Amino acid sequence: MSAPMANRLPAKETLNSLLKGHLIFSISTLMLLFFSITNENLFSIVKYRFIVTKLFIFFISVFNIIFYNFLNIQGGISQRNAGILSKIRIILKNGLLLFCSSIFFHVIAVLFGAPFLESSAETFHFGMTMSATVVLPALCVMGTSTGHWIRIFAQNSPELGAESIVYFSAICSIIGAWLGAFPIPLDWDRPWQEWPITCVVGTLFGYCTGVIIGAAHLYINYYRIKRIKIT
Amino acid sequence: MGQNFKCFFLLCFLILLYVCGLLIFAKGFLLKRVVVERNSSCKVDFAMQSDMHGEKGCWMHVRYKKAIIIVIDALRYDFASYDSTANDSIPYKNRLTFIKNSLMKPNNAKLYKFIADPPTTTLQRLKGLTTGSLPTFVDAGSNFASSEITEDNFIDQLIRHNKRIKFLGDDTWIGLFPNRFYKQFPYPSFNVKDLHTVDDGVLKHLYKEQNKNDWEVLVAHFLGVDHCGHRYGPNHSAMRDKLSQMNDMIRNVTRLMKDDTILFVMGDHGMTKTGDHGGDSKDELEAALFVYSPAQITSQHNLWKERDTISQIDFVPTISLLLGIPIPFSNLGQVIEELFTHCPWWQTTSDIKKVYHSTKALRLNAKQISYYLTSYYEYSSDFPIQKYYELQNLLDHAEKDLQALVTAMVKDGATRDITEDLKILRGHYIEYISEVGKICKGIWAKFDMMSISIGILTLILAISTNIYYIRISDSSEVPNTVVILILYCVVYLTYAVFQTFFVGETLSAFMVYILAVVGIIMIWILTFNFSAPEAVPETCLSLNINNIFSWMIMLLYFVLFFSNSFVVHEDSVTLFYTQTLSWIFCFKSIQSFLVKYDTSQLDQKAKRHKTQHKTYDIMRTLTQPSILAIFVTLLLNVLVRFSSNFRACREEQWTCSLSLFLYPLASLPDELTSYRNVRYFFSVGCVIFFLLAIRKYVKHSGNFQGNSAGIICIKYIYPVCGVAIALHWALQGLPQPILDALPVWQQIFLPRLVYILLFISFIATTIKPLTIHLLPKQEKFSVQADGTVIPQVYNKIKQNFKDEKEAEHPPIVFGLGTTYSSALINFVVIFYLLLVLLLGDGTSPSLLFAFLSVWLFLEVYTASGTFTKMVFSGDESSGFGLTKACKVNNIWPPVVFMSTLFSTYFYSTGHQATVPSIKWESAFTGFHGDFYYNIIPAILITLNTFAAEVFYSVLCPLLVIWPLTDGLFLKSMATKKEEPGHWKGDFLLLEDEDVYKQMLFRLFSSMFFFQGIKVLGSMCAAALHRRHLMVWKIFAPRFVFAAVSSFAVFGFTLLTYLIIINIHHALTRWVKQLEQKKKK
Repeated sequence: MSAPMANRLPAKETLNSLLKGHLIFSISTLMLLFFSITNENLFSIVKYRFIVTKLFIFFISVFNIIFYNFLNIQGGISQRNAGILSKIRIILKNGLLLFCSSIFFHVIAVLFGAPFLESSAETFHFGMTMSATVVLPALCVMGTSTGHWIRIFAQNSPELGAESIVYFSAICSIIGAWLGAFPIPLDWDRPWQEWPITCVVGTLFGYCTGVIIGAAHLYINYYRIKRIKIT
Repeated sequence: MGQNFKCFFLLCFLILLYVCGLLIFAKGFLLKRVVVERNSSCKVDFAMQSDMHGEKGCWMHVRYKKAIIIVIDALRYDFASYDSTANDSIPYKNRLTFIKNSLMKPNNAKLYKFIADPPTTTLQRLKGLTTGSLPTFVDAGSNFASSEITEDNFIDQLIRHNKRIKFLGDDTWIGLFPNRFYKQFPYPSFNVKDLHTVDDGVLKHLYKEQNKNDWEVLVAHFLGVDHCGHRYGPNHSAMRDKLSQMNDMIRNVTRLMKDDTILFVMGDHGMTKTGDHGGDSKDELEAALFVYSPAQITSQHNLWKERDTISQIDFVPTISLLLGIPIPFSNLGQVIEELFTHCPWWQTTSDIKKVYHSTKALRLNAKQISYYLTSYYEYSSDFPIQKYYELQNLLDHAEKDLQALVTAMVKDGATRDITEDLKILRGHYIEYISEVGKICKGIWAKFDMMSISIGILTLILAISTNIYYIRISDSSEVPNTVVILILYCVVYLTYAVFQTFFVGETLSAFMVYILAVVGIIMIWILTFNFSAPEAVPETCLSLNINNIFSWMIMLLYFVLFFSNSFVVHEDSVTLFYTQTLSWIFCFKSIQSFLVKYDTSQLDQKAKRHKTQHKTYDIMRTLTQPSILAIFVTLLLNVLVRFSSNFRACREEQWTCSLSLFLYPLASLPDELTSYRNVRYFFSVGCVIFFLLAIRKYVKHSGNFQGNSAGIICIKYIYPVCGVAIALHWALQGLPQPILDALPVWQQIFLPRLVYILLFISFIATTIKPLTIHLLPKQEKFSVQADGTVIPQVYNKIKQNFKDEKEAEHPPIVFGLGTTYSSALINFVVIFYLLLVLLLGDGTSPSLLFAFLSVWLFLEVYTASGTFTKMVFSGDESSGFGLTKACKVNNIWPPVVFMSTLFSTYFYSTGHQATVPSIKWESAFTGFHGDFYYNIIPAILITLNTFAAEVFYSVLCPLLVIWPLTDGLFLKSMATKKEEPGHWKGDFLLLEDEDVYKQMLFRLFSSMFFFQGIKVLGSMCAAALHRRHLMVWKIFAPRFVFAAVSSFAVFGFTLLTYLIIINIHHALTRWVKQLEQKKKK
């Protein structure tokens, strides 16, 4: 159960549910994001930045947790058979990791030039967004196994399937957050140019794009490899 | 030897190309104005000599016989105006009570907002205030070499009309007007720390001279307010004292005044919140002008709305006509017509007289401007011809109307209509004058597009050549095609220089364009066709994450210059770039550590592992190379981020507030005074830390033995320098009065001591750069027993002389493994101490941070580089030879990182790319005011401004040397300790001499390339935005700073190259000597 499949190709059903779930999820998130940018009152990310950011984080986390853990999607390792006590331990461990990673991203944001003490709430919201898009999906798929993390992120060789989607979405989120910083110094005097908004939007946008890219990559490669195998 | 100088020559040639391109561009971009050297004469046909009343004058009758002009440098408008709402605790508000009181009599006193034309430096302002013409950008640079004014000005006009002028104060006037004054009391102006010498000197003579009857015009120039601003800023109690002193002075002067005298009190410019000036912000432009006379100067009327804001050049025609002399020939100012609405000789006070009189003054003014325009038109064809005739038409009409009116007035007598007609006429004249002013401003902002485009083409040619250099550095031999290229470029350069500087805008410029384009295409063809003799595994074009990001960051840096808000926030943007790149390197190094990490069996093993080893060793996790790399990168980021506290604020960054480190130590604002000691000891601590760290490093690498020059410097001279610097800072922290009470030699002794000591150590380490110590054989054992020293025992010599295998005792040499690095570090310390001294105690700690971040980066880079791969891949047989290591090493990404890092540190050493943020006071470290030559202050200010760039240029060879010296980090990672015999350190560089030179050449070419791209970006942005609103505020200064900083990098890199060659030669000589000794 826990061992990855020998041929490193997900099953057809897994593929389908992965593709469908992710596409529906990312497109709906993109639409929500679009709505929250263009809308000026209800659900506007400029006006209610904290609540809207938290909602997005909640949305993404809930999707990932449910999708990978309860819908029986074949990820890397799964602790389904573990007892209730170890389950609690895992949840606590993951929660702690998420919290630490939020702090880590907060620190990184400050090091990259975010204000040190002022608007630290904003910075922390950015950190939470980052950990929700980068760390949380990876945790859902691979758990806390160092080996998997190293193989995927340091050696750039994720398995085709959930791992490759996580890999692409994480990288695209980071790139999106990075690109999101560029409109801040411009002198357009728009309210959305304030510190975390562009970066949070960039992260979310990057995450969704990453998920779509990952899904496309999965789809294309799956059939390519399959054809090779058949012939 | 030959190869070294060949490379040196090639780099020099490249610099020549860059410099020529920059100069050609600057010639076209930084504007100049044609000076018409003609003087106005007294007898002109347009002056109506008929209706003279009062004293006989030239163009108009003499209204006042005498004038007193008091210039209070940097008298901002809000210093002079009264603000009843202002808080009394603001030191600069409401101190000039005399002005307020005298304004109660509105007919005797007037206060104007006196708008200066940028640049707001005293010399430029004095030129404007005496000639009435507009300055251009180029004049700004000549502030230190004040040259005589050759244009017509009211001082010369006064002398021509036998008026005697007395002058007291700022000696800039003497430079502008040598031998003009009947009597003069000049005082040196350059020492901005000195608040009182000039003012006290002027006050000593002022009243006495005023009471004598041997003058017609008295000029007094006070500098105290300006110097107070430079030293303490406007918000300081010294400003209160200074302004009160000025107030008393004005009151005393007015008491001694008679009815035939008029007084002008003016500021030549304002000051920013920090007390600086030079730019064009509102605070700097708004000076004050106060006009006063015991006799009535103006009259109440409600014919038109009085101006309360006038331009500084308006002063020139006003004082000329009031004193009855001609208006200077090239004046563009408009008379202050309110001052011509009253004459004491008038019997009636009818409105017609008032209007007529002031219109007459305006007419004379307009006529003079029209004369000037006509003759300017002869000299230069800039003026748009259609506009010229339109304006002439306007003036001719006005003239005709005036004639008709005068005739009507004589015929019919005064009626109400005439007043209205006169008012319309007056409007015409004002329109004419202001239109001409506007157009002149426009044409003097006219760019020479030919020079601009040739400059840009030349720079592109230089960059192409640079790319070619980087390309040919892959091979160890310089190909012969370089000669053709150089010859071609020389031909092109002569042509281009000749065309831009001597020929001017003609059709032959096309030849230059064609030559340039052909040259660029030729170089690109050469670059693409060049193939290195051996295949190079990784060049700067290979697709890997390092390369992609370095190219991207460079491109982003290039693009940055085109957006004004990015240029304004460049400090934050470069910080962002630097941090990004540092993480890329971190990621790369983690990747290279984990490339071998086996993940296939991990899943199964992991659980077993966990059950077996319940004990979790946190230290083992923390010292994992990848975790360590993350920590090192984090630390590097923290250092870079922390040093952003040392940033200065530029005016456009409106959210920025000046940090603790940017104030002078003696005048911290009240809320920060408690941090004074903290700051001082922090700065001193940084110097001590640096010196100790260097000492420790040198000791650690075994170069601390013996008595060679470098070691003596490290042992004794540098600590002495450090102490002297600390004492100097302490002295600077004293309150101003105490410091001023000290004799001059005591104020300059300490910095001069540092200069001399550093110079001596520079010379000594140049002559004897090696810090290695050859141990005499008999002492061998005693030292080996010494456990505290970790000598890098070096057995390489044994292998070098294999034919002498019989030698049982190989010589023991200390520090041979770090010969190059420790010799270079000696020079780094020298430059560090010099720059620290010049930066002052406020911003100097950031230089330590720069050094530390370079060190941390080098550690990460060494680990990320392919060197590590070689260690890990176990290429033992070749003993990780330099040739191989160098071939696979790609220098481009680290160069980009270092360049962006030091662009960040340019800002983090308290500078901004604006003229007002230049730290002029750094010229006084070790000097007290008066300079015979301008070269010394120029050098000191350049070193201060480009401290980061200079430091970078000295540090950069470490990029080549460091990976070989085995950093601490690398050691901790190496799974298996290498046997001592294997480790050769940077002595390898001597072995593979050719490769070493090749690497240095590639390093310097890459550095120049990055600088070239930066300059090209700022240049293109300036050219593209030449009509932008912000061009003189943002883009032009950015270009100038980029150009000068690249000059600094070029110059100091060449110096570093020479130093390296010198070290290399010394080492070669030393090895030869050793060889000979052996043979004996």
